[in-house]
Amino acid sequence: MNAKTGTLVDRSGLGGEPSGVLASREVCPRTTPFVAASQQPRFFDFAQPVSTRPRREFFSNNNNRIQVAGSPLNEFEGFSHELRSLYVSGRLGLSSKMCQRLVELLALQRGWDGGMAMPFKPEEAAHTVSLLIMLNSTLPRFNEPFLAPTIAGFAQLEWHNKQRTLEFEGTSDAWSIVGSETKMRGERVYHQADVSRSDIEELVAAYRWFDGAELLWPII
Amino acid sequence: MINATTKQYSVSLTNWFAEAVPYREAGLEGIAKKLLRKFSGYGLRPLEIFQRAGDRLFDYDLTFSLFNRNSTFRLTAEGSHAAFQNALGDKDAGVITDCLLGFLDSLSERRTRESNLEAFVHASLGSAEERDRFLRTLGATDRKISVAGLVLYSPADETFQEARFLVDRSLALPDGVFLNWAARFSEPLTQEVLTKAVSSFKRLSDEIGLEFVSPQAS
Repeated sequence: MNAKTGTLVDRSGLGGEPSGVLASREVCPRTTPFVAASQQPRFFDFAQPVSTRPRREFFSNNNNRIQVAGSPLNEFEGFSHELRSLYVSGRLGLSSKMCQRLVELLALQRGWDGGMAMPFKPEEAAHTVSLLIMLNSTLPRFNEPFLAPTIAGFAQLEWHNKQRTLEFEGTSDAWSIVGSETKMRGERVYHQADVSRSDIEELVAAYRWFDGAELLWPII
Repeated sequence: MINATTKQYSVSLTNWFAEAVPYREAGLEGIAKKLLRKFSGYGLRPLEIFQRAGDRLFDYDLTFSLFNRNSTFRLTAEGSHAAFQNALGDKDAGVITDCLLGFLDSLSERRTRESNLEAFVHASLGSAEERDRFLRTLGATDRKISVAGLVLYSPADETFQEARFLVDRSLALPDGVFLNWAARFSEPLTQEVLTKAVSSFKRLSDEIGLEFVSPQAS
């Protein structure tokens, strides 16, 4: 790309894909403002082209706004903003209600509780979505939880049925899980466990317990 | 001290493994599955992870990107590389940290020999005059040709080897400076290492008379 005119320039002289460090700029057409390759991180040092890279001829530039196939691209407004756009798009296989909820939580500002609550962390939204996608794909029966923020900026997921409740609360590196159940005589019994975010088996087991597929609390 | 406001930043991490891993021992399917689970919340889908088998010896790679290709990840026989560009604000720093740690966690079976962490920052100093005045203070003022940049080398500490810190005019911001911090280290990347990297960056900025302030305070 030419820094002054904003037009794409083929410096290889071959009319093909750009190569080397120059390519680092061209694989991300939404970036703004333009920054010379020397002031950008080196992307894929060996510049292997990715098969889905948009072809050169689809790019044009009108009034410094990059267009693809005639449609202007939105400016890139940061990773957390992009995450919000992802959830708005609804392409994750979650219900529109859940996606809407995620978007609402991502918009929370510091002090949203009227006190000193932290804003909802974007990475926590991603952890929550990863968990829900994993549970949804692993379990034959799965209901989405009620999702709430905690004052520390993490997520709390809650499921309730007549006999049991299940809560997942995010911490810096794990899910803190609390299950409760009403026994035959009416007494309430609580179970608690901290489970790594990557421990799929235990996370699934906790939901199976809530759903009645496991009689005993499965996490030791 | 001159107040600086970060307008845009990028981060990259390169890891070199202790030993090159041949294709047959690479376990790319398992890694791809882990990556998919870990990054599905960031929008990663199965068909967005690419394997290039190469010659099926050491010439292979596994790549994927997130955030409309503003972050890219690459695993090869000899190491891994992750880069994030055009980040804005503290919230993006949390996302970058999470993605970096998540990426390396998926490669935890490989032993890392050394890593190189690098940050690229475009910071506004308020006006072009202020920027030029600041850059001139970085060198001797009695020279006929004025100084417009600087490279500092910070001594090694318990975590990082010698850190390189470059100051230059920003090509992105007419009133800004471009700062590049880079250092190698051999311990595994953790949240603590990243925190130390930010401290080192701030200390070196401090050395040259730049104080980073939040956009509201500037």
